Amino acid sequence: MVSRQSLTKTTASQTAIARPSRFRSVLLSFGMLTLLLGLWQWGAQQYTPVILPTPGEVLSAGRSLLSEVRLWGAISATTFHVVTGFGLALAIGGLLGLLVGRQLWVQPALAPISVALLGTPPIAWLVLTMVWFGLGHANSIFTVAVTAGPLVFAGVADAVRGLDPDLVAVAQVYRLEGNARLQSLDWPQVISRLLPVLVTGLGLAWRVAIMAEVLATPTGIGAELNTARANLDTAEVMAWIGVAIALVLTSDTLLRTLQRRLLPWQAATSSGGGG
Amino acid sequence: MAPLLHQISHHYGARLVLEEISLTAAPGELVALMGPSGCGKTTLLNLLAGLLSPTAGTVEQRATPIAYVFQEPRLFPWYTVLQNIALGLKAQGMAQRSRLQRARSLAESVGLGAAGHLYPPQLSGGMKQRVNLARAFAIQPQLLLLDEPFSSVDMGTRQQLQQLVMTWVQQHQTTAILVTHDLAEAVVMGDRLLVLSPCPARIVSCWHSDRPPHQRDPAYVYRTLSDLQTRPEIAASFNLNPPLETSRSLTP
Repeated sequence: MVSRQSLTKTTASQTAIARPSRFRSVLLSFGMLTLLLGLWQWGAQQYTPVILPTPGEVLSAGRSLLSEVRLWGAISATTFHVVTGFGLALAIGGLLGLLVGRQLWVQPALAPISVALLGTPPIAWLVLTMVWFGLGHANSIFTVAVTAGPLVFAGVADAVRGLDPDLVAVAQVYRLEGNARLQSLDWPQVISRLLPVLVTGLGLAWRVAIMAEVLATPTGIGAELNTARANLDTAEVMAWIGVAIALVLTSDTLLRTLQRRLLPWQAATSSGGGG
Repeated sequence: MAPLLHQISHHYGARLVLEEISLTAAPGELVALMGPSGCGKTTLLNLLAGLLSPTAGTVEQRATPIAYVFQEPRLFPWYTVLQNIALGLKAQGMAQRSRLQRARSLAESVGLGAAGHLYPPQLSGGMKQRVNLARAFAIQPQLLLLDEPFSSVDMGTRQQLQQLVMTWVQQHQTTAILVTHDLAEAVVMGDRLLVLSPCPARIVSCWHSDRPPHQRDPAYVYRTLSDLQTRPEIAASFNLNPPLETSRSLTP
């Protein structure tokens, strides 16, 4: 018999163990950040603001950016590149991944292409897109799609192919069919394997989009970074880097929140186990 | 007696694992199946469950619904205890509220009243096996298949779960087929014991219990165990050495 008391006891002991470690980790993070800022401030005093501006100068450059229209223009341009490129990666990579997951004979045909695409550095694609499309939105969108696509493809193929045969047997015995099976077995299993891949893929998409904008797109955060660099305004360059980090973190947090919402059992699992 | 299997043979590739096995069972009867490891006991259950088709012979059982208590609990990790118990009811199209209500009452009856909201990785082995059982009971099966369901739980839990199954089978007049490696378990739970030979499996021995489940006290179990172990066909099936001869041969 499992008493309510014994369950409560387990939870209480876990909390007792977790509390000091969380406090310690916050303390460590805060300490490391302070140390870094201190080192940065010290370094900035040794060099000119063009080489390394102080944290205060970067903060004030960031504050002045907040009041400018071009900040929002750059954010929306980069977001457009990421969303469109990643959307294409999801559509094409997802569809091909589904095909390979369901029809094993397709895999040998697509495997060499997938390996070649995964192995090609994004910068190589960018050189090609400059030749193919000139300077414009298409560069960033294409580079994001072609870089994240194979990742999505491999993730979806793996998720679809990896249906646990033991659980499939349970579904068969209990006559779980059609929509009920889709809801109870296929979807939760696929989504639990796919979401971590999407989190990684989207993180990569932001980085690749900004890199493409620096080199070959006249709009977006990358383009603004390039302009600030040309003006030797290093404080603004660093402020734009801050904006890029904030964007990546926001998208990552949103996706992880979605992950927690869609996969509540994973959060529960990490908080305690059975004996 | 309802026919379940008729002259079944089954091959895995060129290897014959089951040879001309016929099986009948009555409602409310618990048939224990024993045999050496790898002789095809689980294959027999899979044939009964419709997970495999025999290479020869016919599966004649028409029971519906069927429940299968697998050796490993095989719970859906994204479902809570209650949702796992209600899985078969969901497949039957029962409304969420009613199925969770039934799951809650079954969770209580298998001793998981306080754990309904937990996810499988938060449960101990014994708790998972209780959910596995409750999931099977939930659909009120006509045929209950049990594949060594208690092999990985402690002694106390095993006894409780055995009692739960025996009571359920009696009360609901369910036909149950139990695969086990434990002769004591077979004697305690089984109304009938069938012993299979090593691969390819054939039924080599059949023993009927002369006592109803609630009268199988420890003295009866020990007496029956020693009687069964000396039967030549059972000793041969499990490659048991006669105890006296073994000790003599080891004495210098």
